[in-house]
This record gives sequence, C-alpha cells and structure tokens, in this order.
Amino acid sequence: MSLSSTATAHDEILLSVRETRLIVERILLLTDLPRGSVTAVREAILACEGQRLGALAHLRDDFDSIRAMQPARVFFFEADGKAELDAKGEHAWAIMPSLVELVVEQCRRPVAGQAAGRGTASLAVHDVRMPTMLAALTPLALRHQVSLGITITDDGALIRASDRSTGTNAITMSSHDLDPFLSRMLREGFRTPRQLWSDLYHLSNQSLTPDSVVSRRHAGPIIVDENGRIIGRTDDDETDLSLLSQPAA
Amino acid sequence: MSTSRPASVQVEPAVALRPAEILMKPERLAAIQPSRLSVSRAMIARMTRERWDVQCLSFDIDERAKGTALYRITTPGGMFDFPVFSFEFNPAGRTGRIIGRNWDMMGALVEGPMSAAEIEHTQRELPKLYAGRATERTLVWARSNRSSRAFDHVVDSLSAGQQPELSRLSQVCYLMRNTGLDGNGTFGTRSFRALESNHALRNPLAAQMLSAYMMREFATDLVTNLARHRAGSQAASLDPAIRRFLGVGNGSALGLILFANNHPRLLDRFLHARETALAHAKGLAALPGSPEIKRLQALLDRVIRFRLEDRTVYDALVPSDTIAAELAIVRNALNDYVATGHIGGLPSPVPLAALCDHLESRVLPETQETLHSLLIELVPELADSLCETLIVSEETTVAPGMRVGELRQILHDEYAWCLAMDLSTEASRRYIWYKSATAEEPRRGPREEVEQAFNLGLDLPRLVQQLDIALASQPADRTMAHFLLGHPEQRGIVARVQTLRGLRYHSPHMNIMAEDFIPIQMVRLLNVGLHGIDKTRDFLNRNLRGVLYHGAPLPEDLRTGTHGDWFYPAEPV
Repeated sequence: MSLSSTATAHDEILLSVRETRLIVERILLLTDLPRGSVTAVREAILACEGQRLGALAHLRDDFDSIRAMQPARVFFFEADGKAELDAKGEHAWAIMPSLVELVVEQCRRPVAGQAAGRGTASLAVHDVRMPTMLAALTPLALRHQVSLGITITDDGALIRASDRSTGTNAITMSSHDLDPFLSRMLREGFRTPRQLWSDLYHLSNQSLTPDSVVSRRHAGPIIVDENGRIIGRTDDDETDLSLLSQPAA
Repeated sequence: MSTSRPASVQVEPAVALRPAEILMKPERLAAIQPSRLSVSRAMIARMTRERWDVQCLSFDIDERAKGTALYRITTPGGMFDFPVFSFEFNPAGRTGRIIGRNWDMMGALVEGPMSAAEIEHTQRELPKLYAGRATERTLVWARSNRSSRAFDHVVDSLSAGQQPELSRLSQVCYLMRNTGLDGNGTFGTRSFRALESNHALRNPLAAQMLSAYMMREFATDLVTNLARHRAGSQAASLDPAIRRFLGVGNGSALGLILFANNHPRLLDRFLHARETALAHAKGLAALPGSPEIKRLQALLDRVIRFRLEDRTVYDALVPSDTIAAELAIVRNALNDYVATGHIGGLPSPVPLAALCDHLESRVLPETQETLHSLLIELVPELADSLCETLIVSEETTVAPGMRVGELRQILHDEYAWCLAMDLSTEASRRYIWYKSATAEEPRRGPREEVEQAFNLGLDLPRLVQQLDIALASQPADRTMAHFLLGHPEQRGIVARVQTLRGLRYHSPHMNIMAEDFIPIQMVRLLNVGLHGIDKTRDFLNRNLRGVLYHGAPLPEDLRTGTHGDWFYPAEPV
C-alpha cells in the first residue's frame, strides 16, 4: 500500500488527530518505550506538533536515536521545597508525562491546616535530549487545569506551575468535556507535508503484521485450510477464495 | 474525578439497575437485542421526528451499473450530500472482509452542498482508500457489495415486469451489504468530536448510520434503474412495501472488540442508558388493561410473528422459532396478568418487574432481552432523551495526587473479577490480537502462528493484576506521580482505572487473550445491541452478518413523519 507517489515536497495535507495518533502510536510500538507509556508519550508528541515544534519531522528524521526511550532511568530529587529531575539523557517526550504529573501533584499536595493544596510548584529538569520540546508541557498541564511558565535551558527547563482549579486532587473535566487545546487540534488538525506523512505512514506500518495465508485464517467467516477445505460459512456467494488461499499480491 | 451524567439519566427508577456482575458477563451482553436506544433506531426516530428530506438529485448509471449518482439529505442540523460511484460487477478480489479489492459501490457523506470540484476530488481519491484523502467536509467514506442472490433476482423480476419472490428475498433481506464505513478522522475525514453543537450527526455513529441508510436507498434505486435499462417501460418498479422490508446488510467482526476496548465510556453510557430506561419501564405500575399492557401485548404479537416468519438459517445462534415459542410463554404470562392481576400467581406493585423476574429462569437470555427491548418502548420519551446522552470523551488522564492505597482499594472494589482470574495458564494467554499489513484487518490468532505481531488487544485482567502487584510493594501514601516515575509501564492502566472510576458498565468481564474467549459475544453486543442489527448469523464464532434498517421508513415516509413504529416488520403480502 502506498500513498500518492506524485506528491511534491511542498504539497501539504491536513491530518486529523485520530490518524496522527494512530501513526505515532504505531511508531512508538517500535521503540523501547514501555507499552504502558505509549499513549501518554503519543499525547506529548501531538502536543509538540500542535505547538509547531516540528515533532513529526523530528520523529521521522531522528527515529533511530529516539528508539531507545527508557523513562524509568530518570532520577528525581526533592528536598526543602526544591524539586529536580535528572533525565539522564532521556528524550523530552519520554519524560513529559512524568513532569506534568509531578508538578500537578506538587501544586495540589495538601498543606497542614489548609483546605486547599499548595497552589504552586516548581521543578528543574536537567540532561534532557531535545529540551525545546518541553515547551509543549503547557497544554498537557492545562488538561489538569494547571498553568505553567517554562524557561528552556541548554539541557532542560525550569518549570513553574500554578493551580487554576479548586485545588483538589480530582480530574475536574467531566466525561464529555475536552480540554481547549485538544478541541483546537480536533477542529484544525495538523497541516503536514504530504511526503512527511507518507514517510511516517510507511514507518508506522512496520508495526503491522505481514500478511500470509496462515494469518488470513485469523479473521473472516471462511477459512481455507492447508488442504483446500472450506470451513465456516457454507452459503457464501461473495468471496473470491483466491484471496484466502494464495499469498498476498 | 467527575462521573456526572446528564440530568435525564439521574432520575432514580423504582427498580434497581442490574449489577455489573450480572450484566457484564459476555454471555449476557451477547443476548442484548435491538432497542429504541440502538443507534440505527435512534437515527430513524430522529429522521422521522425532524422530517429529514432525502432526494436523489442525479442518477447517471448505465446498464452495466457503471456511473455516478448524487443524493442530498436536508435536515434541521445541516445539509449533506452523498455522491455514489457505482461499478460493474466483478467477482475477482471480492470479499466481505476489508481485505477486499473490488466493490460494487463507493460513496461519501459530505457536508453539502458539494461543489463540482469536491465531487471530482472524491471520485478520484475514494477508490484509493488508504492512499486517498477525503475533502475537509467529508464525514464518511462508505463502500458496499451486492448480495448476488437477492440483487440479481430482483433485477430479473423487475425486468420481467414482476415483483420479486418474497420467499427468496426474505432469506437475505437486503440487496447490498455494507463492507466499510470510515470516518471520524480516517483518511482526513472530519473528527466527530469537533462537530458543532447543533450538527445533525453529532451523536455517536450517527454519520455512519446515515451512510448505511443511503446505501440502502441507492441499492433499491439501482435495481430499478438496471431493470429499466434492460426492459424499458415494461420493467416494474419495486413495490414500496418490499422496499421498506429490505434493509442494508452488514458484516462485522473482530474490529468491534478493539472498538469496545477503546470506547469504555461509550459502552458504559449506552448500557447505563439502556438499563435506566429498562428499570423505569419495569417500575411502571401498569394495571391490567392499561395502555402500557395493551401496547406490550401488541409488541409481543408483532415480534412473535416476525420471528415465526424469519427464514434465516442460523448455524450457531438461537433460531427464531425457539425465541418465538418462548415469547409465546411471555405472552401467556402477560395474558394471565390481564385476567387475574397476578404474575406467576402473585400480586406485585411493579408487575413488569415481576414479569421479568418470573421469566428469568424459564426462558433463554435472548428472549429475556427481547422482552427488555419491548419494555423500553413503554417509556419512549425517556428512552429518546437517553439517546441524546451518548456523546462522551474517551480521553484518559492520570490523577497524579491519588495515593497507592486509594488506587488499590478501587482495584479491589471494582475489578475483583480481574483479580480473581487464573492467569497462570498458557490457555489464559493463548491468543494475540493484531492488524495485518494488508488493509489493517483486525485479526486474532494463536501466538505461535504470528510471533512477530504486536498485541493490540486490551489484556485487562492481566494489566490489573500486574498493577495490583506493583502497588502492593509501595507505601500506601505514595502518590501516582511518584509511583509512575519508577513504573512508567503502569501509566496506561492507572489512567484507565482512574478515569473510569465509579462507572459500572465500561468493561465486559472477560479475558480476550484466553483460549476460551468467544469473540462473537462482543460482536453481537455491539452489532445487535448498539447498532440495532436484526437477523444476525454467526460464522466461526467471530463474524456476524445481519440486516440494518429492516422495515425502516423510506424517504417518502420520512417526509410525512409517518411509519414511526417500523421495527420487527411483517413480510409484505
């Protein structure tokens, strides 16, 4: 399967959030990232693309170096109200979910004798690959109703957070609401060079399973077994059985 | 975390909703029948209520079925065009599976009116499918194939100036069968969550359902057109009663299990809405001879006739004559109530609830759920309002301040069924779910047969057990933010559990990786219960074929707002 072969480098298409999520998620399956973090890192990448940080191009151009994402390697230190995270060279995307969670938790951490939590937080992060991507922490934190001020440094960022909610530990969005940033992405999509989309599409297809006669028996109302016997629907008048019994073209 | 529901859902019924431990068993979910809350029925109710206008603007298709047509649907919530590209029948590369390479028609549902350039773009791009791009106002790309048996017979009959034989038509009940409805961002179509608040197709699956309705309309226009090409003025027109009887075919399979995995809130909301309507209906203090009881009697008579007339050959599922016989038992119990005022020999302030209890051990789950669907018809306004509550977000988010102890408590309160499962055996992890490189077809196979595949199935019981083990080694007051720092592999399941907290119907109680998992049970829930498909046949425990819009109003009926009570149609005489 191929996308348009006549596309020029300057030809742009509009990608939806759904298809962008799909290809990014499939590409992340090809990395060392723990499966349980794929969705959160995918959202970080979309936020970066939504902030026009060139995330999709970076994913394609530097994929080989992005493969080795191991977010559990980081070291977090907190004392005397000062919080720091040593990313140990991890890519920004791999640690962005944790950075958001840490500052949100810090903002809402209970204070003795007060109904509300702290309300503010700060976190310094060092030794990050691609620290410019950390600018997209802002929309990710807004999903928790926390605003961020971010100063990007040579190898990380200084993050200051302020709670805009009522100060509870709850997720305050109701089940039918979307945060404004996601709503905007859903409305506007991502203007993307067709060639970039094509390249990412093909890369993402590596996570799909190659077709085979055996694999084709794993779906459908009819199986053609190794002896040519037909199992399943007996009155099927619509299937070209060669599709099931011969290797894909 | 908010689990708020719209006000109409929060009204407490007199009878309790069924607990998840009963309803969420796969065999029970598989028995759920079409109802007023099924999205196809809700769509027809809306089209009828709002008198949607469906017009064929052009039909330029030759004697070999090649050509184009254009339909327009005008609604209070917007105008939509449905261009159709029709192709000559070609048996090569055909299959109901998405790996097919040939279709008899392709169409697009687009916010209208479409310009000539948009139609030309769609005609060029649509046949490319995965390599194509939809216009920015496109909602759905659709494709369907003929049912050769029914389609050819109808064209032959009409060409001979006759109506088709119902005995042959009613074995199939459709002329064309849906083989793909792609939207909601796929191929560049509009994201449904971005549709405006007054958009006519904002409800879940509404755009797909309208597209399926248009497939049905096109199919009947096509047979009439082909007969006229063949026989000129001697050709007969298809009797409107037969046109109503014919629906559109549908085939569904493993992809619906992945859909259920990815739409837990929709599943919960749908089941909650259905159970709420049912509980309210069961709680009616319906006296013998009341309008509610008379209505229920009439509905039972109708569905009994429908089942008795059903000529579908069921290879695996409960045959219709069995259900008809059991519905006669239900009817008799209701007759007894009318005669004596007692259900099963006892009085009850909530006789319909008593009727359900009385029958629970006497009839099959499919029969019970048929009765439940009929009961929902007794609370039509409530049911219709509940249909408007199905728009949900499926986003999941970690609540970073929640402590380990609290999350463990949620696991033990709400996922006891997961924690109780024996996952130590090979049989519990025998299968893997994956998508093929060809057409991205969802497939399920033994692990050893596809060793290189990435599992795409939600291994929920195992994820929950692993999370519980990981949490058990942590201090109870540690927050999720700090726990996930060292355990990023748990982030997805933590977010899911936290986001769905308090909802009771989001996850069927099953292990989809196990050897004994029966995929068709979930396909039936979604195809029959949610979509509203009748006369479903099961193949290989994983594929379901059936008919959508069986008996539904025609465009001329919609314009007059008639035929509101169309389901379970009798065969035309």
